[in-house]
Amino acid sequence: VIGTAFRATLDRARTGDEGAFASIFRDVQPALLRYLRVIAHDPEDVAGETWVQVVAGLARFRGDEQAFRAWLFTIARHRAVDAGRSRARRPELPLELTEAAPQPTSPDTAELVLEAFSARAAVELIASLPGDQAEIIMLRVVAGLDTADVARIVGKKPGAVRVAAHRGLHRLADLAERTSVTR
Amino acid sequence: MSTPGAMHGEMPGNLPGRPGGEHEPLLDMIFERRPIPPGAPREIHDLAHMLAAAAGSAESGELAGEAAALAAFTRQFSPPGTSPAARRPAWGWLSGRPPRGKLPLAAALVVAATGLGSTAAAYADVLPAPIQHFAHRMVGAPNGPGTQQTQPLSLPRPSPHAQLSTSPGPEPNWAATTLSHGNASAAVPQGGPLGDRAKSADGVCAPRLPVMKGVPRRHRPRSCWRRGPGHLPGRHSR
Repeated sequence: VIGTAFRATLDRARTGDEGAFASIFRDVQPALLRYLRVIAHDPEDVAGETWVQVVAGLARFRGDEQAFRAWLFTIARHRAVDAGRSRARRPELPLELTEAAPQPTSPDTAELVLEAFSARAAVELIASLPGDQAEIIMLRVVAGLDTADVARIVGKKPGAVRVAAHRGLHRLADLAERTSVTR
Repeated sequence: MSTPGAMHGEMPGNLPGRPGGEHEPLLDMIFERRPIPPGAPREIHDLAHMLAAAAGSAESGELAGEAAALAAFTRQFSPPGTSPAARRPAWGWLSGRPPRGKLPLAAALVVAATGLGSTAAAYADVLPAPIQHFAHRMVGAPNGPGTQQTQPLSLPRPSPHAQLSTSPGPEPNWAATTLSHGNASAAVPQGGPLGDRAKSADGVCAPRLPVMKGVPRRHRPRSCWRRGPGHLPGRHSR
């Protein structure tokens, strides 16, 4: 999170300052990529399309850092949905491979997270949750959005978002507890 | 607060023995990225650590798309009508390949200028004697002061009765006519320039000048230098 300097950074980026844009990119890109790893099959491609659209609309954007993040993740979600539809129209993998590639749910992943605390392993563990819970946790925790913004992005009521977020955390805690018992 | 379809045990604040329930404020602290109190249950701390890792700083490879994003940014904010090539720095030609087509054109111009200059110098008779002599033989330039004027060496055309050998034997009939330097006109009928070739009946390119046996190699015209026993008409691909 850039913080108080965000508005000035965004103003410079709007005038074509590459350094300012690079600062914003480096601040948001990790969270964007991790969020897309949970909801999209080709996170890097979708992230690239997202940035292209962000760049195209940057001059028209008005708002603070929270609003910018909400705008960017909204775009990312739309692009991910588009990519999913496109992928569904042109399936590339045999059915058995598609079914055999759900998110990792083995305790090994949880163990890896608790021991190493790497971001990738933590995201994999979150991705093992049901889709709506995983997405909401990513938007709340990783993207740093509040409940109202998340509700707008996922098209749910704020209460439903809150419930889904807590359910997801319970499941994550269960995974962690199981891991500690088996160790 | 209730949600249709949610079990009682799944409602926030009603989860005894699980994070949530009495720990709901702690979960909110996780969402808000506030530090967890030291007295909180270990599961809450584990959960907070895990989520902090998920929201941590960039790991290797996560910023790999920066160059592409910056390229899109640069394209978007370049002045209207300015192509990316026009925005390339002026020193770009030093680090990259030369613009296609300009180098061959420059080389051709240099070669043409050199050739024209040399020819002009030859006709002006200002070249060093050996070169002037060579130019005299090749293009008919003056032979230079103090040197013996000789006829420009020319390749005699073969007599209509001369028979070019097209046999694929190992040694073509090079010696149909003997030519000695200085009396080429006497040896053979006057003909075209040295190096002319004629095609035989089967289309093989054969030297119109029979071999210059007896002529020192350095006095032979350039086009004959590569003629030798190994050069067989039958070896031409055409």
